[in-house]
Amino acid sequence: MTKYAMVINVEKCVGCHACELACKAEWGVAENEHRTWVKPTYPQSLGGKGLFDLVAAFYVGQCNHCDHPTCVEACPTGATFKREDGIVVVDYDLCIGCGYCVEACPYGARYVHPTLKKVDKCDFCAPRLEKGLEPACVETCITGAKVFGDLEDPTSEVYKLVYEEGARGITSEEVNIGPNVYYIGDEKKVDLIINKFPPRKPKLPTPASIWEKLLKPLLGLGVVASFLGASVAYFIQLFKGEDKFE
Amino acid sequence: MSNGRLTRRQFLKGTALVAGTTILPTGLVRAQRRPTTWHGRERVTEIPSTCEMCFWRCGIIGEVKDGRLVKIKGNPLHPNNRGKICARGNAGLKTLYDPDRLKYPLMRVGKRGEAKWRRVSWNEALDYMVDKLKDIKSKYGPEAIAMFPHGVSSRLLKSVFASWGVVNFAVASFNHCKGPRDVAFKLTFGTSPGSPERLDLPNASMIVLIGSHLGENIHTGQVREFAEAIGRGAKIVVVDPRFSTAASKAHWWLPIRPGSDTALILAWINVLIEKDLYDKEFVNRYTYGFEELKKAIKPFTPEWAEKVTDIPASTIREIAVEMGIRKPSVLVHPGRHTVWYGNDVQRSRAIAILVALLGSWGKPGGYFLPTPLKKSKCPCPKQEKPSKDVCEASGKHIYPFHEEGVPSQCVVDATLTGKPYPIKAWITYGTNIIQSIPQPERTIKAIEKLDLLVAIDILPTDPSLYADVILPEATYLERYDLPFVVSNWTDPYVAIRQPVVKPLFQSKGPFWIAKEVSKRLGLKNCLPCNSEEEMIDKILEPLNISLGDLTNKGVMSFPGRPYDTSNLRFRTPTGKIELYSTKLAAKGFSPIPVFEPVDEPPKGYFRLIYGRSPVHSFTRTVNNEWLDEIYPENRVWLNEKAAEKMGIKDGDEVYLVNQDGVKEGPVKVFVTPGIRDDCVFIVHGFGQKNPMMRRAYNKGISDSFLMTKIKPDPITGTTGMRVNFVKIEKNGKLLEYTPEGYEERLKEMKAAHVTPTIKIQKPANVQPEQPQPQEEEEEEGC
Amino acid sequence: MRKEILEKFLPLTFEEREELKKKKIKKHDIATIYLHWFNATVWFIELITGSALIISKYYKFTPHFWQKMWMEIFGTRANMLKFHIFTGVLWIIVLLIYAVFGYKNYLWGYFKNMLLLTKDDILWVYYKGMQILGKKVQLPPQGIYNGGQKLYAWDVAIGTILIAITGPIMAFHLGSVTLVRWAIAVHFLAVGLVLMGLFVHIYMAAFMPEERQSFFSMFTGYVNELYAYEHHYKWWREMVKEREKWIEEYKKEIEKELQEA
Repeated sequence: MTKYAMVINVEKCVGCHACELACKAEWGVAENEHRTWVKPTYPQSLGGKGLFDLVAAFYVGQCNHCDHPTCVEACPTGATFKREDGIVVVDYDLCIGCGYCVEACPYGARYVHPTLKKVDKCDFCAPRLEKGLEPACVETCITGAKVFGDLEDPTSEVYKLVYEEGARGITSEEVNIGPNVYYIGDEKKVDLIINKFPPRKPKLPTPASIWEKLLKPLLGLGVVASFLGASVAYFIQLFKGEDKFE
Repeated sequence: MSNGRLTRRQFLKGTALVAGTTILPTGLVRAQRRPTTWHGRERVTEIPSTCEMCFWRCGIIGEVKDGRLVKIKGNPLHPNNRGKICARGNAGLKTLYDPDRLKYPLMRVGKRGEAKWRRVSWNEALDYMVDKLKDIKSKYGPEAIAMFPHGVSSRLLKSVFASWGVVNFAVASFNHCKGPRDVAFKLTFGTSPGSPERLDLPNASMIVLIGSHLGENIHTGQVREFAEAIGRGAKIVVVDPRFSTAASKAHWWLPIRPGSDTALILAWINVLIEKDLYDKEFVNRYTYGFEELKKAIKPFTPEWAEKVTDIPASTIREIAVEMGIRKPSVLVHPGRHTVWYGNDVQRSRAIAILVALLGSWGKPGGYFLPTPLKKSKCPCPKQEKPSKDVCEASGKHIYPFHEEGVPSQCVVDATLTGKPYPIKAWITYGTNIIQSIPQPERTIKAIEKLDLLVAIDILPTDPSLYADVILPEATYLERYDLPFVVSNWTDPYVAIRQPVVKPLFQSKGPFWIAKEVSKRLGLKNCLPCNSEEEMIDKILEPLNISLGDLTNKGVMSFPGRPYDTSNLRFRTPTGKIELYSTKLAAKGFSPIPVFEPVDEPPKGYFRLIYGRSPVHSFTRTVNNEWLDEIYPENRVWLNEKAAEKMGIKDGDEVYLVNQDGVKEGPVKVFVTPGIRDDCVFIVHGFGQKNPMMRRAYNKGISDSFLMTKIKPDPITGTTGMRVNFVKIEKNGKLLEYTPEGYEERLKEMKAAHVTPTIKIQKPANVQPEQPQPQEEEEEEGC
Repeated sequence: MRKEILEKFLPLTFEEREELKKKKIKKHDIATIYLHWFNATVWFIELITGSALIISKYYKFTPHFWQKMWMEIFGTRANMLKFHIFTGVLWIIVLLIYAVFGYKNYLWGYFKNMLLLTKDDILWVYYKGMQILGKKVQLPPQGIYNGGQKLYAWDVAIGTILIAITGPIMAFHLGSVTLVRWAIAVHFLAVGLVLMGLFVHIYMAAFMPEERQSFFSMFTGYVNELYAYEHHYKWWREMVKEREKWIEEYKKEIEKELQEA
């Protein structure tokens, strides 16, 4: 079994945005949208003595390929699904671009591509992996801050970083759906990233929640009732028998 | 690595070339099959080349599909960037396909600055330009022509003009960037740190960055190695008034008072000597003037420095001791853009001395040594006896250690005043002289006095707004350039730049432009090569390789000898590392660095400091779609305490007004604890004034326009730029802020002034200056 | 036949009943029959593929095995979606052809006969309810379709329009993302509404013994007059009158032809 994961070394990342653009070039990511992104936390005071007590880091975000992906639950057509190797992908043949998953993702990792009209997001460069290439962002990362590999393989670097050195995913008490992008480095910096860019609560868009909370139960009841009514009538008919002559 | 040679052998076998020929016919070069790879789900062709989104020159591979570039990635064979490229490198294709590119030669029809143009043929444009130049030369002499070259592609045309007698070349990379440190290191070690700098970052156990914001300043190979050092747990010291990205990685961030860096370095030297922590063996064996240094350094104690720098003496001492313990694998970065306060050579000298005392020259984790690679030239012989350049001719602006042409402010002065002689024609090549030279309003006034301004560039940057002739150069992805023979790397290498796609529109490569100009100027022996390919072959001949060997790999590396100190020599008058500079002494400058306090901001003003964003290379990249998307405009970093007092909130739109009343804006404020309260910071390169740059036009503000004052370094004439002060104007009201204890500080600074104990005199035991074999310096970018 | 029967709905004698039973009366055109069964087939296909397509937690309403089975029959879910869309588009095209070419006969006919509610229709629904609850009541006389059928016709008409609009919006991403989001909910809603009526429709039309005539008329097009008299008196009366008029005219025409000959 394989379970792909990414570890970001926040000590090494200098926030150069190379990953973001390599991804853009590779996959034709739309203008002002991202499959992977870099956001600075900017210098933050730790409440110590002024100038000398600052901390800053860069948040490198992308799809977390979660263990319990809320986007998959939200997709009405089943276009988004989790592969056996852990990669959450979007099947463009099934995607209708409704973006229910966009609202459901706690990391803002998805967007509706304005020209393709499909939902686009990081897929760990699955087509490149098939050709034996690294993900485009890892290939270009100038500081080697992005480490990609198989979490089920005890000899891999990501295994070491996650299980032995304690790399952490971005989770909160409210939202923890098993992200597989991990952050390692000075605990203060990792904490800063997690606190500054916490996962948001998965949401359903209004029509989906109206369907889910109101229409589905009502209509379900109606359909079942009508089916049962017809059935009962038929049972009675069976019991009574039909006229011999009409 | 030797695999380069192996490849060559295989290649020769494979193509069954006639033995002995090193020059491949052009056809054969092209006939080689290109490797392919996958782009997304498509098969694409790979064509290696060299990047020029900045001047670090990383190896790249263009992925081409049906003649169109679809992606740029790093070349994994390249020993410098090792398959990695930064955001700008990745965004290169958006510069290639920038809709605002200069497409055809243009000639001005309206007034200067009106941006009215007529599309002309190359013949017409070049004929007009050359006729005009000949006119000017016959009327005023060749010295009435000045050129502002930048980047490798400008070298050919520069050599053509040099051959024609032109002397006034204002080289930005020296004047506005790394001049002071190169000169300081040459004065001390006889050689500059080089470009790329010969820094053994991966093996360093301690790295000291003084004003260098590595990480925001992305030189890919260096940042990669910096990160490697961080990964290995190297101790990092960052001296910067701003909490830079590098500072966020540091063990010690020293928010130094702007302008007082020399004091800090001198204090470190003081501790190293006082505590006997310097590398005695190294100092005894290789250096000259240690005793003088020891004497001169006495007054510069950490306690003295604390008052000047605002850094606690205990911290200064602690770091110095750490350096002393960890030597020689302590890397004190020489910086790159070092034109700060007009006393920059002495500061860089102090750094060089610190390096020498730590004995890190030629040691792992320090400054490694170059492994020279031979190369030849495709030359333009000097045909005329050169006349005196503007500085020499003026008789008063003499900067004895100025290298590479003339200071740009001298050219501007001469053009404005006609003294010492008039300058009537400017040629800018790949440089935005409006934004890169401080005092742009003077530059613009000077341009108005010109008979001819020619702008050669890929984009309509600011100078083209005033140009008479605009020539569209092919971008780095469409042209050949001179090959890069780089000895400043642990494994030296040769890399080429070759066209990844055919030139778009009517843009032309530098060789064609230079050749056409030389023909029209009637220079017969200039550039004796028929094609770019032949030129590259000729240059690489001494290395026994040809363009054909590189066309599919892009780069070839050789085994280096970075730590081979067996015949370590220093090209200084004494043949040693000159802690006491005999050359400076001979010219009447302090031979040992002293601290000269810089002007503090007037009351109510902030000092304007500037730097870079990791996604932009000055003004060159601001029109790039992808880079604009990431960082569309600069913001003013302002200390949160100061902001609170002034009633400014994060994101507020303000104007900056400098000491001479020049106003730039509006610009958004970034309120942060990460900067001292006596300075503000902006990223350089924004505030484009040419509406033909549709994406970048008027976004952000220009720091250059706020630099109405400069302070040339008396030693090199390089342009000190951090001597300008600004106030913040919000809602039409000029706000003032004075840091706590401002008056006391001024007093302290005065009290801390140390009169140099060193007497300036020619030491008796030194031979009169002999002409030193000059290292061939190639014009580099910053 | 008693004259007053044509004027007023009265109980029939045995002979009259037998007489009426023998006579056929045309209820459906060929085109209507085909459209009905085409529609039924499409609904069958789309319900199966649709239900098998909706697999995620929030929306699914069929079990996993069902979805897996259909996925494997189609090979991939993408194929299934393509088939669903193809069938839907075909359905819309056929409906549009009927609406355009048959606007006079079938579109207007559908509106007039099936959607236009009269007072009798509403009363019928009321009394039918009473009847189901076990009260002995006389149902008011009905046109070609009774009140219940008309209500279902409304249901189908609204459902069809909604589905035919929202389907293409989803399939071809017409309009904004927000529109697509709403289209999904409306699509499901419309199907649900039609489904509610569908079971009643199937039971009433195909399973109830007294509606046997009606069921087979969807194949043959004819019902006997007794059924028409008892269930759709208003329509029967009209048809009889029209037929008498038609017979007179027909006879005159034949005589004319004979004379000319």
